[in-house]
Amino acid sequence: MSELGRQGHLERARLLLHQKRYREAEQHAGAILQGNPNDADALQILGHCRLDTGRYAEAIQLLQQCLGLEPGEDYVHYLLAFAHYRTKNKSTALVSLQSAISLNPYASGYYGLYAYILLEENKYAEALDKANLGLAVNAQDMPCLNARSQALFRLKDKAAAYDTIREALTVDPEDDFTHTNFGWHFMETGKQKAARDHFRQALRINPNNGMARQGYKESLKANLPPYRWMLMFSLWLGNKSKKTRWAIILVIWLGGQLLSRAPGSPVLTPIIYVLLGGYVLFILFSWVGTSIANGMLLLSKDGKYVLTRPEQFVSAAVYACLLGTVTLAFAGRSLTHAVGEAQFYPALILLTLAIPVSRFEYWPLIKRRAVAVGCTMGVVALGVAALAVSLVPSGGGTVSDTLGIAYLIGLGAYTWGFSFLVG
Amino acid sequence: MNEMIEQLKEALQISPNNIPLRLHLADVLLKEKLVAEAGEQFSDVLRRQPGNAKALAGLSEVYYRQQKYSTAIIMFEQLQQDGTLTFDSKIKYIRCLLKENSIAQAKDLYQQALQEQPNFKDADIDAVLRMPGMETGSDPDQLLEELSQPGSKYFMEKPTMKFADVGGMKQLKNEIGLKIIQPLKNPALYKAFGKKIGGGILMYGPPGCGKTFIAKATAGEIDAKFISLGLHDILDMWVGSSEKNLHDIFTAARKNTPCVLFIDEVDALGASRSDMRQSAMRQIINQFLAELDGVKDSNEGVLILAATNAPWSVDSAFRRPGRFDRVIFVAPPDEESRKDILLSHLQDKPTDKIDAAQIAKLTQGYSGADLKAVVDIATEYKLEESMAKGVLQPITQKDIAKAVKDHKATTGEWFATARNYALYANETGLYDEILQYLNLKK
Repeated sequence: MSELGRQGHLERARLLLHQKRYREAEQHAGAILQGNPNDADALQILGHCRLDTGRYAEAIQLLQQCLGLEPGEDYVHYLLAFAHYRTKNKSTALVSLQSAISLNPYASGYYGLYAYILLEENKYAEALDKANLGLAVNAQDMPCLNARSQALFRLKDKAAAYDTIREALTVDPEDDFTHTNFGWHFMETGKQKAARDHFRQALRINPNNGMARQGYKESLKANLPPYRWMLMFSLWLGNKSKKTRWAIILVIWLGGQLLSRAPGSPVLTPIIYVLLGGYVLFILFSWVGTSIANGMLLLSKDGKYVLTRPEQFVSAAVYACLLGTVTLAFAGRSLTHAVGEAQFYPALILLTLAIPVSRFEYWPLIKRRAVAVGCTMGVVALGVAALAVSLVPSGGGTVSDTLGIAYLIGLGAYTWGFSFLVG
Repeated sequence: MNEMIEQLKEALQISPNNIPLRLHLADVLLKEKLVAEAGEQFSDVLRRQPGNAKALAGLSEVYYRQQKYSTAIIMFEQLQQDGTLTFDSKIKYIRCLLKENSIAQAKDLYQQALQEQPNFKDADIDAVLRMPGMETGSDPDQLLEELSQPGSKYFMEKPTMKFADVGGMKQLKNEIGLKIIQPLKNPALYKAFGKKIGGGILMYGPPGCGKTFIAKATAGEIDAKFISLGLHDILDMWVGSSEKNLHDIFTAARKNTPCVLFIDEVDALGASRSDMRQSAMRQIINQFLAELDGVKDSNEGVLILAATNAPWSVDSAFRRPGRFDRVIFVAPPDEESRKDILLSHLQDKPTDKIDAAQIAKLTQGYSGADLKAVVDIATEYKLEESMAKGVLQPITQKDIAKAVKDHKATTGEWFATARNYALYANETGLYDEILQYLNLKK
C-alpha cells in the first residue's frame, strides 16, 4: 500500500472511530494491517475499537503489541490502562497509567482516569488530588471535572460538588458522560425524576451510551417505591468497602435468624412478627424485585422499549407465578381437598418458584457456565414437579411430601449458592 | 567556462571575505555540475557568515543533488524557520520529504505551495500526492472527459433504468418526484405557487439497500446524466486546491444539465477530534455548502441526491432548509421487492424451478446486497457439486434455503444503533420512519 493510501485509510479510520462506527473503522485499520501487520497506528485504532466495544482481552493484546513497536506512545499506555481498569485489574491499570503520565504529564485526561480508579478504591481524598492535578493542566477537562465532583460528594462537600458539576455542564452542556454521572448521583439520593431528566439528556446526545440507558431504565423502575428503596440501599452498599458490605449483610441475616428464634411474649411477639415480616419481604423482594419493577415498565408507554426480550419474558413469568399464587391460595382447598395449612401448600410452592424463574433475567451471566444453567433448570423442574404432584386431589401422599421437601432444600441451597454459581 | 571558474577562484584568493563573489562562484560551480566543489564554497560562506540564506539554500541544493536527503531536510527546516524558504526550495524540500517517506509532512507543505502558485505542476510530486488523472485547476471540459472514462472514480454516465425498474420504495419515489423531478418538468407551476426550487434529498439506511440504485433510476427517469461521487474518495486526493476540485465537479454537473449529482458517504465530511487539520476539513465543508447553496453559480437543472449509512454523524448544517431538507429512510426491500431482486439475480443462472416468493418470506430484513450474497453462496455450492460430478447441476430451492441459513441479514447491527437514535434522539422527528419500520411508533 502506498503511503498516501495508508494515510487515507488512517484518517478515515480515525473519523469513523470518533463517530463510534467501530466495525467500519476496524475495516480500514485492517486494510492497513494487511499490507503491514506491524503498523503501530493501525494497531492502536484496532485496539481502541476493541476497547470501546468491550472486547478487553483482544484490546489488551493489540495495545501491548502496539507498545512493543512504539514504547513511547503515551496515549497507548493510557488506552491499555483503561482496558485493565475495565477488567477490574486496577493495580496493572495504575502501572500503565503511571507510564502514560511520566511520558506525557500534560494530558489532563490521564489524571481523570487515575482519579476514577482511586474513587473505586474508596480513596476519595487522593482521587480529589489527582482530579485537581488534571484540572491544573486543563481546567475544562470533562473526566477530571466529573471525578472531582464525585470525590467531593463522597467527602461530603456537597456545595463544592454541585458547583463542579454545574461548571462541567457550562463548559460542555452536550457531554453525555456528565449527564449520566449527574443522573446516577440523583439516583443515589432518591431523586429519580431529576435523574431521569439527566439520563434522557445523555441519551439524546448519545443514544448508544449503555450506562445512561441502564440509568434511564432504573430511574423508570424507581417509580415503584419498594424498588426505589432497594436501589438506594444497594447503591449505598456499593459505595462501602468490601468488608463493610459483608458485615452489613451478615448483620441483617443474623438479625433475621435471631428474630425468628426469639422467645414469645405478649408484648414482644407482635413487634417481632412485624419485623420478621419486613425481613421476609426484604429478602423476597431482593430476589424478584427487579422482575416486578420490569413488569411495571411493560405496562408503561415510555418503558416497554427499554427492556430487552429476556427481561420482558422473565418479568411476565414472575407475574404469572405471583398471580397463580393468589389464585391457588384461594382455590387450594377446592382443588386438592386439603384442609388446614396444607391447602396453602401449592400456593407456597408457586410463590417460591418465582425466585429461580427470576434468575433467568441474568441469562447472559448464567449461560456462561453449564453448571449454573443445569442448577437453575433443575430447581425449576423440581418445583414444577412438586407443584403438579401437590395438586393431585388428596393423593400424592409420601411422594408429594418427598418431592416438596427435596424442592425446598434444593431451593435453599440454590439461593445461597447462586452468586458462586455465576461468579 | 572553466576559465571563468579559475578567474573567480583567483579573485577570491585576493579577497576571501567577498561573500557575494564566493556565492557567485558556488552558483557557477553548481551550474557546471561540480556539486562537491560548490558545496565547499557554500560551506565556506556559512563559516564566515552563519545563517546566510543564499548559502543555506545553495547547500541544501547540493545535498539534494548528492541524494543526502535527510541532511538537506535539516537545511530546509533551518530556512523554513528563518522564513527564507523560497518557492523553489519548498518544492525541493517536498521532494526530499517524499524520498524520506514523510508523506504527511510533504502533503501539508505541498498544500501551502499550491496556495502560493495554484497552477503549479510537478509530475514526480503529483504522482505520489495526487490522484492520477485528476488535475487541479483543469478546465471543466477536460474534467468531463476525465469523468466519462470508465473506471474513473467520478464516473459520469447516462443511465437507462427508470423508476419502474426499481421494486417497492413507493414513498421515496414519490418524494423524489415532488421535490426534484416535478420542479424540473413544470417550473412554471412551481413558480406560480411561489415554491422555491432547489435543495436536495438525503437518503439514509442500512448499507446495501439500493440508495445508489434509486439515484441512478432518478437520472434515467428524467433522461439526465448521472455523476456519482464518494466523498471519502475525494478526501484521499485532498491536496492543495481541494476545494477547487469539488467546485470542478459541481461545474461539470452544471455544464451538463439536466444532471443528477449523487454524493455518497456525506458523513465522511466531518472532523474527528484527533484530526489535527480540523480547520482544513471545516473549509472543505464550507466549500461544499456553498456549492450546494449555489452561491456563485446557479444549480438550476442539477439535482442533488446524497446518501449515508450514518445520518447521526452528518453535520447538522447540511440539513438546513435549501440544502438536504428532505431526509428519507431507505428501508430494506419488502417481500415483493425481495422476490423481484432474487429473480433478477437468478435470471441468467441454471436453475431448477424456484419459488422466489417463499424465499422472500424467509428473508425478512435482508438487504439487496444480502440477497445477492445468498444467490452467490448457492451458486458456489452448485459449482463445487458440478465439478465433482462432471455434469452441470442447476440451483435448487433447497440450495437457496440453505444459503439463507448460512448468510444472516447484515442489517441487524445497523438497526440496533438506529433503534436507539430513533427512541432517544428524535426530537425533530427525523427518525420517525425508523420507528414506523420497527413497529415502535408511540
